Amino acid sequence: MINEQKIPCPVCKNPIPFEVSALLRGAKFACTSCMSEVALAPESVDKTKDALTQYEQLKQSTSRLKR
Amino acid sequence: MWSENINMTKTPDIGIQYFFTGLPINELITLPLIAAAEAQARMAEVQVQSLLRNCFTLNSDGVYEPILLKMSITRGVLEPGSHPDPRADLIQVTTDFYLPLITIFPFSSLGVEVVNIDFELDVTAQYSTQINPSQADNSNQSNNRNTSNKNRIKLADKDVSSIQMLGQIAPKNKVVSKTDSSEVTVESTRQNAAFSFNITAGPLPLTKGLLSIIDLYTNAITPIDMPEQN
Repeated sequence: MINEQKIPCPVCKNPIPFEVSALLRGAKFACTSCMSEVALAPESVDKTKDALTQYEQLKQSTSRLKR
Repeated sequence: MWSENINMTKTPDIGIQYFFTGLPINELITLPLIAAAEAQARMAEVQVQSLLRNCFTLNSDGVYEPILLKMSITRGVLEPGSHPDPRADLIQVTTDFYLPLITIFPFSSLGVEVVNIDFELDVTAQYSTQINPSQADNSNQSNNRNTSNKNRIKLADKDVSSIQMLGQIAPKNKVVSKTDSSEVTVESTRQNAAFSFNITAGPLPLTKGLLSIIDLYTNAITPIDMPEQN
């Protein structure tokens, strides 16, 4: 299942599709309407990475239950 | 394939439906569904705990506050030119804004989507009768009487050359076991039934009230414009 995530553009409210792993790598996602670029600030990268790592571990433990 | 053999002690004269009453079909169907529902509830509970632990901080008042991520947005802004050069300049302006961590979590992928229950059930009802030698003697005497009756019938119906038999033929096994002192005859009848189950279950769509509550929470964590600071 493709789970595309979007956030509203702070400038024009147009939804901007993004991927968390790419955000963590420093990628910028552009709004297709006003061409604004959204990125994760470097000081928030570690906080996001820790939370996602714990969440991925939880997903892996539950996927073992599905088998 | 799952099979179960049930030895019946009832008389075989009763219909086949009597043999197969009391089969645990309700349990066979409902228990996997109950297990899936419990798994769904446990996963939802673990998911909520994980989100509270990773995306919120518990303050001293016992209130969960969302962890905010600092994001930056870069956009082009037209800046009016100075007086000698009236051409506008396009400059890149970077603005910081804060976003709750929970808004970028892909947390909809945990849960039971579809439950497929597919199994086959073979049921064998077996009835056996043990004939003792004394009963066999009586049976032989009875057979002798029947034979003599048959002879009489045969003698009376000399013109009959063929007989058509109508009825249901059931498999019947006859086993004769001999010991030193006695002879035991065991007659057994087997009746089989095969059941095939294919059940697909999934979560029901959320009710309108629940969707309203979810919308309320979604709107509460959606980024909003902060008032301008002078």
